Amino acid sequence: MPRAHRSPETGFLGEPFKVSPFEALPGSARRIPEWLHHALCVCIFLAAFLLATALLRDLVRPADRSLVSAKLQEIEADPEGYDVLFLGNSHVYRGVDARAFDARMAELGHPVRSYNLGGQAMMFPELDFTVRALLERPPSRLSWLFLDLSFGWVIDQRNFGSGRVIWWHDLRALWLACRLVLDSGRPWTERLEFLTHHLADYASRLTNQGRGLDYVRWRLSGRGGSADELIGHDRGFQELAIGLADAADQRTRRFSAFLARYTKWVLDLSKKPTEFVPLLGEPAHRMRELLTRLEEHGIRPVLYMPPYLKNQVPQLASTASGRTETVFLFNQPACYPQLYQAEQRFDANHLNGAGARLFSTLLAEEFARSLEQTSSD
Amino acid sequence: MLFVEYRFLVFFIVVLGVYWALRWNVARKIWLLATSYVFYAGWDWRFLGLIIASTLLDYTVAWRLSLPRTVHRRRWLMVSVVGQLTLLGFFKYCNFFVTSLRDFLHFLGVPFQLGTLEIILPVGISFYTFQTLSYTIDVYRGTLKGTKNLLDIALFVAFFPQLVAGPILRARAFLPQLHECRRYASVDVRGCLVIFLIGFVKKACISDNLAPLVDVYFASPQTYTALSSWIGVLAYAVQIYCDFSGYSDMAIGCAGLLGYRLMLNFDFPYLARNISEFWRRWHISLSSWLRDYLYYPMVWNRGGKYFVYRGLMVTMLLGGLWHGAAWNFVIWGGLHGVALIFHREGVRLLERLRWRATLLKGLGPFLTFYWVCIAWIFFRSVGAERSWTVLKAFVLFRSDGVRELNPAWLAVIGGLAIVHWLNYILHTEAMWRKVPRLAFAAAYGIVAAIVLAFVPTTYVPFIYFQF
Repeated sequence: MPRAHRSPETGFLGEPFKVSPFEALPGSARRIPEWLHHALCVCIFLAAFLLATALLRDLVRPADRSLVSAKLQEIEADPEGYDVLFLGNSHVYRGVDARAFDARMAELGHPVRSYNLGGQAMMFPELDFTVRALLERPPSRLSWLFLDLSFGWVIDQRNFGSGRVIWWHDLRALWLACRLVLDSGRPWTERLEFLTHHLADYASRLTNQGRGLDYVRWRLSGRGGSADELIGHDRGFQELAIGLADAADQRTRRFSAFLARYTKWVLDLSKKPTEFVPLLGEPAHRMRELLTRLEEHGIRPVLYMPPYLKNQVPQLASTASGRTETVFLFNQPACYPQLYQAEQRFDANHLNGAGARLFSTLLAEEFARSLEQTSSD
Repeated sequence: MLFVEYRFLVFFIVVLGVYWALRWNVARKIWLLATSYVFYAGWDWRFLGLIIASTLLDYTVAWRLSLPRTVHRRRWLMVSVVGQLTLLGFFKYCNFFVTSLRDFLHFLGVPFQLGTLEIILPVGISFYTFQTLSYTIDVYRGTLKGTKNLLDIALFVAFFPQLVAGPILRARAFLPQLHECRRYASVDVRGCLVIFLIGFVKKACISDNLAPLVDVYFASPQTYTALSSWIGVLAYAVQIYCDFSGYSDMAIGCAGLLGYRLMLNFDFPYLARNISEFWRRWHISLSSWLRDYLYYPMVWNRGGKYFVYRGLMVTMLLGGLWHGAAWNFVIWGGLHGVALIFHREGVRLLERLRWRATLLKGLGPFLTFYWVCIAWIFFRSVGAERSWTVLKAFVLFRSDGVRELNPAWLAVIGGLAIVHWLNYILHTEAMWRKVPRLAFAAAYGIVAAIVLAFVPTTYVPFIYFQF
């Protein structure tokens, strides 16, 4: 059957634009105004679109392109449960070996079972969402949540549009992220751009972006999404090592090339006293809210600063219960020189595998000491 | 702002709403021009001045050319050609020429120490410079009368649906549309929505989902088997077609909703029976531009095969260079030039071969597609070594690699090819035009919801933005 001829000059249909045959019926008088007909079409389109979107959200497997959602599923699926969870950015994800922590705690007479819930570049909005998701179905034994305080408040612009960022963009997270952007003190053009990206990612979540693909992949291969994210992980921890990713290898090569500069940074840091920076405005309010929420569920937050190259520590006011949280400070080379040795480092800000195991051991010792102090008090 | 982003949806709804709410043609054109500049500034506001300068240059030249008393018309044309090509040459080809000259002189043993500049390529410069050149050349030739209406010229250059990646507009097709006030009643809303959705599916669902596979293969082709080379190359052929034709479809749909008709840019090129037909179906706006402003002037009234073949080769080499400032694009163009020359010679030979000719005609589409894929290897690969590795694996089935891409991708590509062919032979437009309006609106909503679920996360920029 020959195709209708399509000439480049006359448009994509071979004829000048025309009305549809249905509309061109002779003698058909329109009973309703044209504008009302258009409005009706738009309403029907929106209704069909929203219904189909909602139906798809229920029918297809969620788009699990998120390391953190995979970890939450692993925690939920584990029948033994966990006493301790570690939450934060890559300082947690690459820096806390849950098994090493558990082993040291057991040696010190406080056996616990822990899991590393950290994710690289996790900022406060995602952290808040993760805690909310966790508290919807909290692990049975969960007693402590270790929170690394080195996170940021506004997400890295390069991560917008990724599966993981879309995953946590529900309405509350959107509202929180936008409040934090508005409070960030950045130039207004930048704030506007960030707000636009947050809204777009919320829309992507609403419209199930990527879920269809994950569903097809899961149906065809039984894999995809969550299962793949945790390959090579042990209780949520994956150590930084050469060969993990090209970008990571470049960073460690740069670190090796500029060791003298790193040594100077560490020396400068060791001379600076710890600077407590009061959290104000929106960040303070949200942080207090998060800690209160945890306490209401019977989970004790344990705050700490990782061994990285800044001497500032966010200072929190008391929570609703009136208690000021203890903060373990590991960003002090004078107190923990072993954590700042080049042999323990993957790059200037991250520990390698050996460094992570050492840090986890020291963290366990601090925690055990604080537990003993609390029980003697 | 990419066409597949939510930001563009909001932007376009606002543009569309205000546009049709305005009653006067001048007001509408001012609104469109302003929003087009905002759209362009969203990419990089620093280059707004460049597009305005390009517009003013050719507006002035064309106005002078259209004056009856103007003498030295050829010189005025040269001002436009030299000016536009200087802009294009500086921003796009400066470093390419410097590094090529440096490498050549080093090869000859002549030391040459000139560094390259850090130049940011303005988005869409290859498209709008060609567009403005077509205007001045048409005015020079007398096929179009120059206009004093700066607003029309500025809108012709900066019209946002086609500004950053085509189709390349022709002044004689677009300017008359700006003279009359567009009527909403004459807009084929349904057709525009369908073509926009088709373009969106091609770009966001097909091209963007193939991109990771193609990137993985072409990053290290030497580690993959020969079968994987076929998967990688075929996937790229589908990716670039869907990416570019998808964008063109969306541009045509958007322009159509504003009441303007843009030219068809892709007409099922992979179903072409020979390489000449391929170039009448692939990137039609560019190929027709090159034909009318480069090829015809070279061969017009020259006679003889030599001038024709020289014209073909030069046109294709420059066409390749237009796509990118690198030798692999020139090689790509050269391969197509060689194929066009062979086709011209072959047509005459085939006429003498009779039944063998029928057989070869039947094989035409496959041979054409095969050659196009071979040329795509050079278009996509980075570096001569990788191009050669892929070529060896694709043509000779020789590869030392052991890694394999999932063979299931061949089934996916085959399925897409069948859908593509069915769309070619069936009158699909007639089917959806018969659906009542309200039912169409509901169906469109359901299809849009399903399509969005297949858009991968993290946007992939249009391939042709690098041009």
